[in-house]
Amino acid sequence: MSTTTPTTPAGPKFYEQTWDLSYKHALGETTSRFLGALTEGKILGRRCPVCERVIVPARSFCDRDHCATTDWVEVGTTGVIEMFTVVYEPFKNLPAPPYALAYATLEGADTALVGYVRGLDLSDQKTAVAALAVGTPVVVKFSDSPTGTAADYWFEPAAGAN
Amino acid sequence: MPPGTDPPAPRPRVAVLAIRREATAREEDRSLEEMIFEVAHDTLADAGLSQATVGGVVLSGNDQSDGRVISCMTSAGPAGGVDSDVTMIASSGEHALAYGWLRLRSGQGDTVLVIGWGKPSEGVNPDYAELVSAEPYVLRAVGMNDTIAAALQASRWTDPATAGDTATVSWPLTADDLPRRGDVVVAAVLAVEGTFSPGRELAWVRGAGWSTENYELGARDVGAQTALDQALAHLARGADSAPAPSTWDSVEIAAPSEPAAARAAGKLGLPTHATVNGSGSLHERLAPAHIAGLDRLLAAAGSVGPGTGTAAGVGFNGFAGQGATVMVFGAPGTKEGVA
Repeated sequence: MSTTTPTTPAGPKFYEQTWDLSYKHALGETTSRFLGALTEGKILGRRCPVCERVIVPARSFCDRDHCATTDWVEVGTTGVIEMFTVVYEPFKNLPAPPYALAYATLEGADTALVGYVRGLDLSDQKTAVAALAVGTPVVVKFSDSPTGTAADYWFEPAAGAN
Repeated sequence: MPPGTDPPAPRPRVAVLAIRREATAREEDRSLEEMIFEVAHDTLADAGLSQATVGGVVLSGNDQSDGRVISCMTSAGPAGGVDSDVTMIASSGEHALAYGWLRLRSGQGDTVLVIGWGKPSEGVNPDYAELVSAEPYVLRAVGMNDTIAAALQASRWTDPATAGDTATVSWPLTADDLPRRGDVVVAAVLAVEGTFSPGRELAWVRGAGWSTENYELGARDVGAQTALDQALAHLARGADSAPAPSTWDSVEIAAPSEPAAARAAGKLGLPTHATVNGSGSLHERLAPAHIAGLDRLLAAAGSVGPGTGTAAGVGFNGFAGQGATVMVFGAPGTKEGVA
């Protein structure tokens, strides 16, 4: 912990403290395999045996039916945007604005996957959001230098979209 | 009822006896504990109670923004909870009010102080602290906060063709569309009928309902606000016949954004004379996210009286309104809800 103490004639008014806490989150087998597959250019989901939805990102349980998921399903790398935003204000530890974020349902999946959308000029708001409208087809692109995290993929508008 | 068993005891009716709210954009001359102490002390005094006489204390803070882990430990004292029955509800402030109400309904005491707070000005960068709300496996690598989640939700309702030259924080939301945090403490004393002089009540609690959807935005229809539908169904299933939204005179809504508040108001089916967020827009009425619902519920409770026989508060919590709570209040009077 580091502490700085701005003072006034009456004494310190604030203690500014920074805590450097570290965590090591266990991923579990299912998330581990999902993230590992990203390094191979694959998006994996898990099927719920009750509602039969293919849940992406892969989860070991379906929280709607409260049961364990059973089968692995490799879903497609094309899909459609379900919701999106273009961020124009800066937030610490997030990319420098503007940047686009979307949830897209990939072919064969029943839930939407979050990811950045690249390959667009975001400087003009009107043009940018028109190119990202709900229902716009996208393709998943994968990093050439994967890290085994959700940063390994992103979406780009499909050829011919808009 | 099986033979030989006693009939269930009637559930006591519960009133709101006192409400206090302190809100400022940035409080630099008092500590958080001092703010909590002053509001707790004054709210209890308004109800004719003290730390020694109140039956229980329900707290609602947010360790992430308070910078005090298990902050109920440091805050129990200023809230009047030492040597007393104290519980902290971390999920959301409106749940603290619902829990306080349930305590009294179940016979656990006659009075309860419910108090919630947030002093985000102490967080040097509250937006940064908010990123920890993202689950650590997939979403945190991308990054998510309340503003971006609210914008994603609003994109479900907004035609991109309407995008223009207006500056947005995160399209389609402008700064005016978004809640404003502020340093805020809100509190109320609830009491069982018969433990206070008739007519002293500010409002009667007529019922409550709440529900929570899937955490993951991609696994739910964020545009549908299903949690609100479920909370209203929960309200209707309650032991009392809580007034339906079609009879409410006013509603106070804490939502992730103005489009979300408007959408929620629209689906309630309110009468044409009903007012929505009469206490101010999301941007005008300062409230940190985790107590915004509690603040609006108490604003609704405080609004009943002449001309407003029934008021309700709606509080959403979590990314893009994962959870929703509804609480309905009736005007003071000798008969519950009838002025």
